[in-house]
Amino acid sequence: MDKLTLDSVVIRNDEVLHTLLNQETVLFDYDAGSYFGLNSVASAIWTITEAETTVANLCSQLQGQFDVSPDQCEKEVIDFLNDLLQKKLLRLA
Amino acid sequence: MKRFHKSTVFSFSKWPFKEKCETVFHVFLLLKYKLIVSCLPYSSYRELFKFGKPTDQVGKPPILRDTQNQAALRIKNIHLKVKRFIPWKGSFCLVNALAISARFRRLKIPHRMMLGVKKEKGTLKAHAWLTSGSFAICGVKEASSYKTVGVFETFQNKPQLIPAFLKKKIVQNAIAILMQKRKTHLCLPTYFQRKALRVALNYPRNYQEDSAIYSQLTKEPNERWLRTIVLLLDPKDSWEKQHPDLKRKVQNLQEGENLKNLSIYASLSQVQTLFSKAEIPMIVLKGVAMITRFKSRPYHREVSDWDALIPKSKLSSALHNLAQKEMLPIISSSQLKTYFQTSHALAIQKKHHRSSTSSNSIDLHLSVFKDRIGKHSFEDIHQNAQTLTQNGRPITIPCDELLLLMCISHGLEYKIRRDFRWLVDAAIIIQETEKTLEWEKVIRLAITHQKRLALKHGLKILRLTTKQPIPQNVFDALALHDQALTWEGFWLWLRLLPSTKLRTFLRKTALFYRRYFTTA
Repeated sequence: MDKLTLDSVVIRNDEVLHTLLNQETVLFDYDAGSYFGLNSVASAIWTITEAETTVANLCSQLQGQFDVSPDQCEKEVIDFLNDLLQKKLLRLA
Repeated sequence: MKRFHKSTVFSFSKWPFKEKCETVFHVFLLLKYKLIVSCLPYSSYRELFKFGKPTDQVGKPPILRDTQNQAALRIKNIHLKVKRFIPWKGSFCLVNALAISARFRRLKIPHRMMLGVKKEKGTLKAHAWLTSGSFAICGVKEASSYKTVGVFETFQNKPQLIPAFLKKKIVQNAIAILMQKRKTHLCLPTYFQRKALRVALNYPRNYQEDSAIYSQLTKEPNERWLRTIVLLLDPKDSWEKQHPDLKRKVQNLQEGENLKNLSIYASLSQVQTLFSKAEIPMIVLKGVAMITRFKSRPYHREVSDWDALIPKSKLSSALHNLAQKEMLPIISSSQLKTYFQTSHALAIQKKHHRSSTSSNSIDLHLSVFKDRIGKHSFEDIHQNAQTLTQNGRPITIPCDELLLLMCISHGLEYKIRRDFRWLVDAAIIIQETEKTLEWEKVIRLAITHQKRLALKHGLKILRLTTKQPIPQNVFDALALHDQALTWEGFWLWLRLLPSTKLRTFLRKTALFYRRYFTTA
């Protein structure tokens, strides 16, 4: 898998079923047959990735919504996105 | 595991053979899916979850046919019996849902399996449930606290040999034929009529749903509403047993004060009095009932008669009472005159005498409806549109374009050769909305509702008979030809063919269906 950078463009996998549950998002992973619960920050990332977006754009949008330093945001977002990519919940555009 | 009681074994031995087999098969399926879910990796059965959709992307559940309804209920009942004795603990909603889904797939019953989640003590808890048509099959009771994640419609409809619109047309024709045969104001929908109407409207059968239909139909007047209130009551059920909401709404319709302003009310109230003395419950429907909702002035179409429902058991008593008062509406010149007592009745009477003799009857129709144009103002509807309410709820009036289309298609499909009332309606709409009517919208609606051909011919007749200012480009736009138009034309003109043989055949067919469905 390509290494995720700030210029990478990501988009959520259309086949993943999701719903909003008490301001958190729940994903149903068809491949693994398991559910994932996303907290409010992860839900915000999931919402933004509905359309194609770069990681840098994603980070800047999150920084507007949450009180977080740019470095920490980038690091944690990339880790999280890598996790989603591994589980095929997200894909590189 | 629960123990089998002696009585259970005893009662099982008494079940019909088919039911026993089905029960055993159901247990087998439950065991099979239990083993699959428990022992096999998810990847081996994940295909079952391949075509999941989010809830906002699925439409209304498909309507089941009667046979499918019965089968679905049968399987549900078997499952309810079996699940008391399944040899494992826990809910295993997924196993139940998968097993029943497999059964439904085998019987080609449309169904939906739903997966949902809820948060309990910080962890996610999943649940699966299954519905079919309007039936809750398994796990639905517990599902209320779960949020649906995905809907799985594993049943794939096979392509139908007859296109849906054609099927609808066939049903509509059947209804029209049956409606034409009904020459009495005592409207008792036969089994076939109700079935045909139900199919045409895509509504389920049970009468509790019927009251839901009623509320939906009375909520806004539309093409369906204009046609089909006849279907509401099952003659097998007495009026007393009907749903209270339905009774209340019908009562509200009957108590409309403005109905008294109409001359037709005289005959209606006469019969109401007669029936109330004879203790025959009666519900007034369709045209007259509709007019009560449009308050001060009549709706844009006149009402020449009225329809009512009475329980089937009271039919002979009702007929007897009417006959005693010489009010039995047999279509003969003297009795018609006695019964209707309106100027319109005289026109009908003349028409009845002359319609079969020559084309002069068309002149008579034209003279009759030309007199009527101008009697009622279409503006009334517009002026009252914002203020009309039904039980406190606002009534949405269809736009002019839809009204025109409804008027033309309704008139053409039903009584083109016998009744020209629709011409009056359509002419009034065009005259009153000449400046604002969007012809493009009319055409668009006609295409959407598959009424293009009806509109084309309706407008032609309108232009010929009443010289209405219909732009030529409207006809040009409607002249486009495609396959759908051919079928539409075929079914429209089939009814208009002046063939006695064809008519006899259609009547025989209708009678056959009526007999078949009544005895079935």
